[in-house]
Amino acid sequence: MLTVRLDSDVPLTEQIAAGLRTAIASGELRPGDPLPTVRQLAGDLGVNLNTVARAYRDLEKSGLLTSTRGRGTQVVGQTEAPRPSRAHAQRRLSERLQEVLTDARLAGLAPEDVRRLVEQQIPRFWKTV
Amino acid sequence: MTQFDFLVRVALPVLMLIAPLAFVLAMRLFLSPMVAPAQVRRARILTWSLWCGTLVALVIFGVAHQYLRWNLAVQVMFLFFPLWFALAMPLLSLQYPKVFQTHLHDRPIRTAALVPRELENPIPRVAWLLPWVLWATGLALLFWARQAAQAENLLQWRIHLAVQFALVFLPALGPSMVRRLLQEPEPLSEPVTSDVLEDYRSVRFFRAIGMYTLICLMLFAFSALHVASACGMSGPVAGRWGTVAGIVLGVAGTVVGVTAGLWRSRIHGRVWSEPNRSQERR
Repeated sequence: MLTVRLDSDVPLTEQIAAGLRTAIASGELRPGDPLPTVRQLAGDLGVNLNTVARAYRDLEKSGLLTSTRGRGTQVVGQTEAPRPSRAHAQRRLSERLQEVLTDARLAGLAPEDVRRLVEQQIPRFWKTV
Repeated sequence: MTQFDFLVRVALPVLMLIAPLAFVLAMRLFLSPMVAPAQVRRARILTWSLWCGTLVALVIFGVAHQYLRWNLAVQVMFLFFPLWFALAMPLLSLQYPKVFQTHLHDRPIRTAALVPRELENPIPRVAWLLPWVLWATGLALLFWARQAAQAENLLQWRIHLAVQFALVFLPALGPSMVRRLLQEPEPLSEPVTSDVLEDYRSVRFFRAIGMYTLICLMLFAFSALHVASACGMSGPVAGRWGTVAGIVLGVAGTVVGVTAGLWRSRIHGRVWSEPNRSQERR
C-alpha cells in the first residue's frame, strides 16, 4: 500500500517515491514485480498523472525501477542498482538521521519517543528481528 | 394491431418517456438523496422540470398517437434523450454525488494499492475471438446475401455492408475499453481490509464482464438484423426489431453502469467511514 498526505509539506512526488522505496526495501515489492500504471496510481491517489510519472522517473534514475514498452514498469531490485559502499551508506544515513532528529527535537519529542518510533519501524524492514 | 405492433408503437415509446423519471425515483429505494443545501434550489428546479418534461412528452405522444400518423407517435420516444441527459442525469449526479464520483476528493490522506489491476483481467485475450467471429460472420453472410438482394435493393445492401464494416470498432476497441475500465480509481484508506479489496474486485469484474457481454450481444443483434434485412425482411419490420434491440441493450447498459455506481458508492462509504474521518482530523 502507498499512502500520501495532501496536507504535508513534503511534495507529492517525493512522498510517492519515498513510499515506493519503502515498499521495495520492506519486501512488499520484490524484484520483477510489476507496478500499477501511472494512470491507475494517479487515479487512486487523486493526483496529477505527471506527479506519479515524475516519481517513477526518479526511481528509474536511481535504478530501482525499469520501464519497458509493452511490459510497463517493474521493480529491478538492488542487484541491478549501483550499490554504494557500506561506509558511504552509513555516512548518508547519518546525515539523514541528523535531519530527522533535528525535526524530532524541534517538534518537542523526547528521546524515548524517538527510540520507540524507530523500534516500531524496524520489524517492517528486517523481518527476522 | 398485433401484440408486437402494440409493443413497438405504444408501450415502448410510453416506457421510454417515463423511464428517466422512473429511474430517478427508483434510486430512492437504494440510496437517500444527499443534496447539499446550496444545491437544493437547483435540484428542485430539475425535479420539477423532469416532472413537467415527462408530462409534456406523454401529452405529445398522446396527440401524435390519437390524431396524427403512427410513425410520428413512435418518433416521440426520442424525447427520451433530452429527458435523460438534460434532466435526469444532472439531477441524479446532484442528489447522489457519490454514485458518480470516482474519487473522494475531500480526503487529505489517500491510499492506493500497488497491484496493477490490468493484470487481473476477467476477460481473457482468447475471449475477444467471439466478437471478431460474430462481426466477421455477419460480414460474410452479408456478402452471401448479395445474390438474394435484387437490383433495386442493392443500395440498401450497400448501406448494410457499410454499417456492418463500421461495427468493427466494437471488437477492435473492446479490449482497450475493458482495460481502461479496470484502471478506474479505487481509493482506499488505512487500515485497508481484505473485504474492501474483494468488493472493489467484484464490482470491477461485474462491469468488465457486463461490457464484454453487451458488446457480444450488440454485435449479434445488429449483424443478425443486417443479414435478415439484406435477405428480404421488410424495412419497417427490421426497423422495429432494431428499435427493440437498441432499447433493450441501452437499458441493460444503463442498469449495469448504475448498479456498478451504486456498488462503488457503498464501498466508498465504507472506506470513508467516520472512524477514518476522525483519524484524519487527529
